[in-house]
Amino acid sequence: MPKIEMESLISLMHQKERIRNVGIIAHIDHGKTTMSDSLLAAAGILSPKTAGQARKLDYLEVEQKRGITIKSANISLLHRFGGDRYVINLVDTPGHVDFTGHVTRALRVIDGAICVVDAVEEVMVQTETVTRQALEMRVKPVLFINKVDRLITELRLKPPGIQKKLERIIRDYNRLINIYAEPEYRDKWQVSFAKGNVAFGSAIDKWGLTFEMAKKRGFMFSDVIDAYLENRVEELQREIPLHEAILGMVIKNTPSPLEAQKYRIPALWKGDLNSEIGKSMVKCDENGPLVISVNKINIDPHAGAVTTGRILSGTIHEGDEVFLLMARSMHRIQQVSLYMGADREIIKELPAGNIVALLGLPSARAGETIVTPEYINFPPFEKIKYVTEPVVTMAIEPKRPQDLPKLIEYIRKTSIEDPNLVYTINEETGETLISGMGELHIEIVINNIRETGIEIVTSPPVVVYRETVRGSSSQPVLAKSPNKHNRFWLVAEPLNDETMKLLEDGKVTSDMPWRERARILREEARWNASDARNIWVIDDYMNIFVNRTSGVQYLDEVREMIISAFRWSTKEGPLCGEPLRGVKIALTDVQIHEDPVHRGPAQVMPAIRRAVYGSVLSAEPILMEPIYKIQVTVPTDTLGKVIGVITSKRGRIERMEERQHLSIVYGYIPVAETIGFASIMRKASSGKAFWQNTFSHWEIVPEKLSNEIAINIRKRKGKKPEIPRAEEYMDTL
Amino acid sequence: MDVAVLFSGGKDSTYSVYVAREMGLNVRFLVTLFPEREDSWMFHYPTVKVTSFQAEAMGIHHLTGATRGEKERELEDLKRLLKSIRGEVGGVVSGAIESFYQKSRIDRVCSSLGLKSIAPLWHRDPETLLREEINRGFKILITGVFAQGFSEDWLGRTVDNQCVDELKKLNRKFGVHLCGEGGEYETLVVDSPLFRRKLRVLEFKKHWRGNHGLIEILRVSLEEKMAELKGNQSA
Repeated sequence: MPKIEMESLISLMHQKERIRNVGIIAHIDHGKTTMSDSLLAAAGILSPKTAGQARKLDYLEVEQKRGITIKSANISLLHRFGGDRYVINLVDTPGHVDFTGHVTRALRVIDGAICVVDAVEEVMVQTETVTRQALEMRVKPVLFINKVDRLITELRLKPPGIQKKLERIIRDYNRLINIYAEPEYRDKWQVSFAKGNVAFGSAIDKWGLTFEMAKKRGFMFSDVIDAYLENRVEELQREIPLHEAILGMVIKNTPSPLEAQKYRIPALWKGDLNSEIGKSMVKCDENGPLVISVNKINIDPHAGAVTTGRILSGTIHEGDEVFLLMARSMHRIQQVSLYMGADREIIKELPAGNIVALLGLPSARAGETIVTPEYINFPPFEKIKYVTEPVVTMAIEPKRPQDLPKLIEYIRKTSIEDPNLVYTINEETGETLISGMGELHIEIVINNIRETGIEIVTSPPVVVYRETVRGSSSQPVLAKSPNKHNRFWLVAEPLNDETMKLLEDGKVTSDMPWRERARILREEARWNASDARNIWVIDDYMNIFVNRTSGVQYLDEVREMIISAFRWSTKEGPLCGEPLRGVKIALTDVQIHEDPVHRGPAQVMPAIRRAVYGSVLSAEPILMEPIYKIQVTVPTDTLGKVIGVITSKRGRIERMEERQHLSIVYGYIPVAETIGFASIMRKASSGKAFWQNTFSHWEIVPEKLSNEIAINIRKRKGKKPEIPRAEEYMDTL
Repeated sequence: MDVAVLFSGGKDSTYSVYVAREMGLNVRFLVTLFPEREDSWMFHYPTVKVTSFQAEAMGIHHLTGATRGEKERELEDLKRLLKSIRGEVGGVVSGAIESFYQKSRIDRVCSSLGLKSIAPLWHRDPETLLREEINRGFKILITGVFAQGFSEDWLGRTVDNQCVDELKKLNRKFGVHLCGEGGEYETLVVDSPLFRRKLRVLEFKKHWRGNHGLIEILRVSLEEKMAELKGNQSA
């Protein structure tokens, strides 16, 4: 980038009404990355000729091979519009469902989203998912209908046919806004060509058209068709360049940080809006106290951890002392920079409203909140909610044992960048388990490991299950500590659907103020007042521990041990060592030895685990399995075969749509049935089906299958095959 | 001073006999309560029947009494037992290391009888203490384990230096007390420099119950020690 541009960029960073923070969201292969590259080319970072092929944002080799973007990178672009200069911070977000966590994180730092929809395929399942996520976080969408060239050259549609297709996409998209936007934005945020928040074009051919451009230049759609038919596509690139259409649409139709923070801060932050810091964030005040919301960490081979986030208030300078609210630690900023594709440009300072890259924060993670040290008790931003959960696991092992430390280090680093990758290491066996969003997610990680030169052996992928209860323990289950000096009585009960919904939506959390939590549970999930008030902990797998005793001596002293024992027990349930889910464990009575030496963790932990196991086993335990939402696009003549495959795999069809000769099937299918699904589906449809799976929800496994699955898991884990009886975990007085 | 030692047959009470002698105390009695219940609050059950053999091996008079093993009854039973020897001893020695609960109760019983309560191991560093017992020739068997981290193969093990290293790991991981002061494990001393003859376990049964277990000792005999050892002993 020429130096002069860099300087204007920096001066613009202070004019907040001239800043736009936006991202691109799309269904896979709808052309998001191609579009980003055209925009980059226009900003002078890539030469215009190579954009469209270079895919600069896909800087990992594996992404190039697969043609999907895994990581989001931020770039800052400069654009002249209506005589003024604007700076557009562009967050590239991935399109593949397996990595939706990245999308969610990116959504926090942007105010507007360019949704790219393929004109041929129209609105797809992932279009719906990402749009819903954007609207839930008050991110305002604009629509770009891509690949219009294919309507002309491949489908050979005439203008009325093209118009009908475009209208249907706009109508379908507005339907999504109607369903998912909050009431006050439902009408305001509708998109239409006349309003200027819809553009169509071709990212690969680098042209785009908005209503305003068409009007100003007297450009007709028939001109586009003619250009294609007469082989004058280069002309379109000159007359109606893509970046002008997109950036113009963004500048006119998405809010500046000044405008956006007014209504987004109250939705994203639960603290006091009338406090000094609250007011400063709502005003996007660069002279206020510093607040940065982190959306991403990258490990740079030279610089180490690079922390990227949005400055919501204040100004960040090189050398500043800052405090990390999640890590609870103090750090000094070593370097402040802004993004240019995969590169960073170092600057001295950056004010509120911008997206920044920072060095010097080794303990920062995605989702962290950075503040000035005076605000260490600042209420952090709500934890980023993930709409997907890791549901597929693979065991990996180095071929050469001496590679183990290298392997662990690599996985540790990867999981910092990609919090959706969960790993566990068995210290005794050296076996490492990695869990991700799906087969593909794990495969990419494995590929990356192999490319570092570490040879590994992998197990077949296995599906992650949950254990839950359908009934309540008929009576409290007693477990004594191994030394018999402490006694605990527990019962297990299922959490009701309302409670699960509140937990999934993050409306009820372990660390929120207890009064408010109690109120929500009483009013929205039919909890009785006393249980709602006495929650000790909510674990990561959505189980709740409730204390029903009162006035018991020494209970406070063992409280922390009970909590960690509870977390330990719910991580591996009694049926087959899978995590518990949706279980309420209540402590109904307890006797604790008065001497601290007799009530240490080695006594309390196993007793609580015994009682948790005993109470779960006596409350009609059963397995839950993850269910994918599946969407299959297939030529109508092979529809029957595809439906046959889905139903034979315990799937169910929700609805079907026909679009010309194509049918789209929407349904649900257990994740377990999708391992190796690809080859069966390809065979049945002669390779004509295109499908996509997104994690949808957990569902109770059919009764007759539950035991069989549990026994197989037990065998795999080297446990004795029989499922234990409740009595094995119960003590008597 | 003549003293009585509260004796369970485990490593710390046996070692306190040894230390009491080093301190110049004359150990006249070993006092053992036999609880009828398994989960006695203060005294050790699994090996307690064997204590009479140990007393015989050490040649010290053994005073025994039964207790129902309920929390406060136990103390009264102990008090009654000590009362019978009040005139003959001036103090009572116990092997308490860290259990304030145990020590404070013994202190109370002693002071009500006008006896001195002596706890020579009180607040000793557990690791040093354990290694000292091993190095001074105490042969200690593990007869019961009652804490997170122990497995069945701990039952019947001899406590040696490697065993201490493993206990240290359990200590770091689960907070297991190195000397088992929280009831994490129980021991039986089968030989020591105090013993003229050594114990031999002839018949026993292992009981494992998921996360804890014990050895039930069914038959024990006393055996002659090797001649040279005996020679050293008397020398």
